[in-house]
Amino acid sequence: MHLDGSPELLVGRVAVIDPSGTWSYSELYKDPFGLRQLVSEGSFVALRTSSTLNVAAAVIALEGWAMRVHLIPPDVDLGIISDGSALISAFEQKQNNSEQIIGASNFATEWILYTSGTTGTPKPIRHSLASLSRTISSSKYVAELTWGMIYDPNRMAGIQVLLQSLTSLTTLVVPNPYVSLKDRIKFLRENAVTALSATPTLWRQVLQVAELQNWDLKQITLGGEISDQKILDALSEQFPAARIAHVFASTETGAAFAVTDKHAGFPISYLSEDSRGIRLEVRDNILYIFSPLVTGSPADGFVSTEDEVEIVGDRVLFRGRKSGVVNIGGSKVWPEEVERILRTHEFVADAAVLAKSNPFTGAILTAKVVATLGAPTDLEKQLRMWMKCSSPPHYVPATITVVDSLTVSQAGKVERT
Amino acid sequence: MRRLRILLIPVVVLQKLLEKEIMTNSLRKTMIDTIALLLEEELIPVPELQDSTVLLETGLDSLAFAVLVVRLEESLGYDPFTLMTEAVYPRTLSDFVSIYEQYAP
Repeated sequence: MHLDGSPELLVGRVAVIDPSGTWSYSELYKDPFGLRQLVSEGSFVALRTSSTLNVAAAVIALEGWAMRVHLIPPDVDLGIISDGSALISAFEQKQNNSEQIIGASNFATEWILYTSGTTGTPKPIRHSLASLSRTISSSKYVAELTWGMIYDPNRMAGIQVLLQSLTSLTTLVVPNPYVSLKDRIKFLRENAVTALSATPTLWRQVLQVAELQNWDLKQITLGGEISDQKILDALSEQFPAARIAHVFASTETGAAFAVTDKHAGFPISYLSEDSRGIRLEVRDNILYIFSPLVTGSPADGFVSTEDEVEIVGDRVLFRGRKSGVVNIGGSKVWPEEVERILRTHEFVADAAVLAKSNPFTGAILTAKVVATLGAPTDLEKQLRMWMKCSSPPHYVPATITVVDSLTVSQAGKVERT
Repeated sequence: MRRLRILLIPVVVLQKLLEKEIMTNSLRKTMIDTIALLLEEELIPVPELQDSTVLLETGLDSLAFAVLVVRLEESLGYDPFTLMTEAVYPRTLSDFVSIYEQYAP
């Protein structure tokens, strides 16, 4: 692992409850791999860190050793480290299932990740190393890549990058997460990174701020948000030789698949063939995935992804999250869809659309946009007129405000607040 | 001394009335300007906006009303409709102005 040498990269706080119920706190600083000494077998662990090295150490030292490991990003406050209450409840649960601890050396550690929490309180998601490694590739092509890390290592997308490079025994280049995106990209380039995974929002920012000439990127991965055609086109123009994969991953089912043809959405043929090891169906404009093992899955085994899709020609296109749909005077609209439309404008680099409650129509949209270089000064007004001429009336945001940058969550996704 | 104080009271009252008048006028102007701009954007001819003007008759539909409230919140800093306990739907321009006046911070 090649790290930017800043000390904040190495700090992590650990809370441990051992099988006898005693708990202790430690700081991980100089020797993260000393975790094994801090944690006795069968313990419950909570690790709060932004350090990729600490998460890597936890995976190596604690899998099959700790009973359960909570990976807590620094921006998520669960009170776990401070009061240990979640650990205690975890401990109580263990007491009730004491048979689990027998033959402890053979058990699979539970890894608890926390969702980005854009919709309120962060939700714990229970994983095993097997479920976290599902998308790890063993191909020779992937094994020769040098991955860069600009994701938070505690979250699904970051852990995938970490596990991929641990599995293929390649260098992982980790910039200081506290410096600007421009400087992080510079660090990745200087250390010969050839593969990078990021959200479409982060990729748009990379294209805007970073020096990219002659960067020999071979693999570009997009995930976590809808990849629109404009970002795929912009990336393939900037990096003509790169393989570009946009990934669809469903938290609800744990399933994931990648599309590499540089077109938004996925081919309609994916709905009829299951050669990719994944069976998909569209019902009432919602994408369903065959995953009979998911708790509470219906008799036919198809579980809703909660993603709204639309079939246009021979593609299935993502429209937005079912829960994010906004009802404006009786007409439905997805903020993601209006963002996509705004981004097709020549002077719009990126856009965030938010819903606001309103006495006359129930809700109304407002938009923040990042302008490209050379945008006219009255872009806000022009955009509204342009939206009016090209979209249904309820798609047009009440106000469009030009901002320097959008608010991005720790998970790299645009925040609609 | 006593006489002076008696004289002072009406001056204060007058001043308050005047302040209120000024506030209402500037509020009214902001609202009229915002409505006019919105109508222009909709390519609707802007009528003379008077106190008795029925807003829905100017060509503003409920979507335009929604937009109006958001824009007024941006320029005035508050949205009276979110502060209300019961739903009120203003009919005329003066109804509309008085709602904003009533909830002015």
